[in-house]
Amino acid sequence: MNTTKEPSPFARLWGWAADCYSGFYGAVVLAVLGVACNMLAYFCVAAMIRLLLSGGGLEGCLPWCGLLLAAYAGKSIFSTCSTAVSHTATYHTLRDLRKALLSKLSRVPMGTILDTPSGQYKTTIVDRVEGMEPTLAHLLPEMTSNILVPLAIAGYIFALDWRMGLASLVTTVIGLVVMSQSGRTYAVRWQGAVEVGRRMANAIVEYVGGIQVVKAFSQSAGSYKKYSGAVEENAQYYVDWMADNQKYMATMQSVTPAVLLPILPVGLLLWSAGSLTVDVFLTVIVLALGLTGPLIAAMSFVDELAVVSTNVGEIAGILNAPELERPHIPAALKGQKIKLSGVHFTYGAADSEVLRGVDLEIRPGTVTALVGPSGSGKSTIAKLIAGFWDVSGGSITLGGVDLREIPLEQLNRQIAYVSQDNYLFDRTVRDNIRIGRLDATDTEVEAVAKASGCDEFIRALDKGYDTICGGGGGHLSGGEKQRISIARAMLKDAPIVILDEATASIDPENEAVIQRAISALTRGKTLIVIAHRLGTVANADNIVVVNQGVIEAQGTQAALLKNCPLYAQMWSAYLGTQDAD
Amino acid sequence: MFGVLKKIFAFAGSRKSLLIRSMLVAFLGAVFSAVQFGALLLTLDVLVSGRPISVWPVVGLMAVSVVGKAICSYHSTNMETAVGYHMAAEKRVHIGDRLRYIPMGYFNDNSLGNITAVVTTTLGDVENAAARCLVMVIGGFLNTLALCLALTLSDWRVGIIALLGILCYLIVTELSQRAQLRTAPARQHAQMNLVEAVLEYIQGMSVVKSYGLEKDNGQAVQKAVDASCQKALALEKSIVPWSAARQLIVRVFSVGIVLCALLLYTNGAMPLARCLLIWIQHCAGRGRRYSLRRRKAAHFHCQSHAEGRSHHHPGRGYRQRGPGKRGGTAIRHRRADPQ
Repeated sequence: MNTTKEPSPFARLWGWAADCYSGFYGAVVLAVLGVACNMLAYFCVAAMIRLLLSGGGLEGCLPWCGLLLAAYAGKSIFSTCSTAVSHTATYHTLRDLRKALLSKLSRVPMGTILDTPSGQYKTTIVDRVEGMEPTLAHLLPEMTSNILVPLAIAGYIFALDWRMGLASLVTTVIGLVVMSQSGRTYAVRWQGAVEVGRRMANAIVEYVGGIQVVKAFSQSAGSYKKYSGAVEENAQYYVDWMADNQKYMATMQSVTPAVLLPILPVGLLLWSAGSLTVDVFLTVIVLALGLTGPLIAAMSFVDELAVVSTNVGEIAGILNAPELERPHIPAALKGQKIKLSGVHFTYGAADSEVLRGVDLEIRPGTVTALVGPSGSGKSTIAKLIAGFWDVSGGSITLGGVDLREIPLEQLNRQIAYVSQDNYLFDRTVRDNIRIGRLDATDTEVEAVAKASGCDEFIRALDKGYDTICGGGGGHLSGGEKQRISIARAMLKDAPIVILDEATASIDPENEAVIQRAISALTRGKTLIVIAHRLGTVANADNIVVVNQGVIEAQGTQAALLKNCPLYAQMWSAYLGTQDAD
Repeated sequence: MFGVLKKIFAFAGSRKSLLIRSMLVAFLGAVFSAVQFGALLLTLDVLVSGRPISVWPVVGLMAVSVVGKAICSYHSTNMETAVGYHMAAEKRVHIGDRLRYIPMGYFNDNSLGNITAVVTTTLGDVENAAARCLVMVIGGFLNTLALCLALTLSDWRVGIIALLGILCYLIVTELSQRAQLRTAPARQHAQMNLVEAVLEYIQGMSVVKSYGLEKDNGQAVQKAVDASCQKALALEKSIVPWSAARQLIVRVFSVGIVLCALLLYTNGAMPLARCLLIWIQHCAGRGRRYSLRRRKAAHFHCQSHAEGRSHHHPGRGYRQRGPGKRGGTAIRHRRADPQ
């Protein structure tokens, strides 16, 4: 377990605000000035009361009224300015935080980013950061005044009469005691709420996501009942929880501000005994009424801090993620041979290794196929070669140099990696293919598309090569996206090409066309292919059978059919699917 | 502002009557809260006239005030919370029911993703925020109304000033919100761009890295982050003068009340105890109207939140927000309510 002391969420947040400290300090200063004006206002009212009681009249009070107005005006202006300054500092802090997050993500292993849903990153970078704005912006201006004002008032009252001071604090103490009681069951209830909420979210996703299937099979009634049941359960849980919580809240909120409850009787008794003068009594009443408002506001701020701590946690999770460490000086590669020696790999826990000792040599200019059952680790091998993660044990070398000694940009220039999902930008088809080599001319782009077997279908789109692909390639089908990604990779003309189920979404007739095109385009290059349809890789120079994180066998098709029962089994299964018609 | 309240009211569906009842109970609570001024008046009479009395009537009135306020607050908040959560649940169930009868051709992956996002996250925000908004805005309004009544009971002329003050405040608030609505869309737009830029950055990162595009593609998202910051600050700047104006109005009318009471007393039209009571009430009222201001500000937060939710990414998980540690969702967010 973690034995080092972790900084508190607020300390972390404060650390991130480092560049904007001057703004925040300015906000505090302005808030303090506002508090001073506030106290001046009380002083004026007290003075006017004294005047009236001692028989003074209009002329005596008018200057005090003027001062009162000035004090109020001062308070308004200072507190508004304090908030404005604080907001500026806050938004600058959040902007810098977002930039830090984005820059961090470019240094984190590519594999981690691919494995995390992009929506999750978006939520952290956009929503969680935004969620801290109200708290951070209002914290300093308001907490300053919410803490200083009660302290100043309490001090003033005590200075006037210590007994009244005690009386004025009674309700606050009771309120605090009540509140501390309410915190006891919070954690348990919150867990329950998370559970209920999760059940509801799952029910919603299942219901809405499966609505087409459910309707097709006329099962909508049962599915709907489960959905509506989960929704009602969620609502009822919160309502019940709030009701329980409200007992404490309502008590606290009516008792704490009722400072007059102890003050009036105590004051009357002291006054009738002659030990308290009228104007002190009245001054105390005026002051005490202003005591509890800021205190209650300060207490509800604790809620805000809880929200902040969740957000801070998520943000820190990204900022503290381990980075992929690579040198900056290009390495001198001796050839293109890829060698895996004793490679072990695990995503996290030491007992769930995906690769458990892999030794493999890939000679330059050959076609290597990685086959095996799902989850065997073949895709992981390809990703490790492409530099998506560091190995947990053993090493991978390219041209005799360990991958960890090769700068990522250099490695990326050597390798063209195409997988099942490939991102297309919201630009034309032509521009998306051109990403392979930015200085390619339109003719070269079209030539590569033709050589990759894509030309026909692209010309059949609305605007041909000038069709816009939409964000993430949303205007195109999965197969079309894959074919464009392959064309893009071919344009890159890298010496090593890795195709990780790159033709999975393409129908078998077109797949054959594309396979031929790829073979032609990658002649003389190192090609590493992972495919489920064994027929497409039967002619590889070396077929590597991966099973449960180790290499079970490797060789040509003929050798494997003879020596590897697993391969023979997979091959006959494949033939079975071919014959099914 | 009333537009948004009307919307929330309409959204309440079958719980409208519960909502109205909760408002009535909240008003009753505000009345109980004002009872303490009766106790104060008794005390002031005693002090000014010099005639000692037993403390028990004072204690009794205060006790009634506190207990009454507590009970009303408990019930009205529970009712408001129930309205918030149940109306969201009702909408969820309604959407689920509608889905059974809509023709299948309507659906594709995108629209299903959108529906999921609305039913989980958006309605989740509504169930959290709507109840809170209602409590704060209505509660604040009712409290202020009760205070006004209390002041009017003390002296009708002072009551008129207070009422005028509130009217001016509401007018300025409405004007300030209209001004904000002019700047808010630019901010909303910048946020949407930010979301799209971030998503493109992250989703396209493997392509960016493997094809060496870091320099070009990094810039777009940086610009989006800067734009989001700039527009947010522009919106804040447009608020500042209005915010100051609103506070000043409240203060000016406060001092007006003080002066009015003073004038009435010095001209013999008001007993001293009354005048002192009004002065003390104005100090307390200062706090209350301050809280009304805050609630209006927080409510606007709610409004822009509710109206501005335009970008839904289907892949988002359901985000949960629980009640605050120190209170129900209905009662957090800086409620400064001295009485």
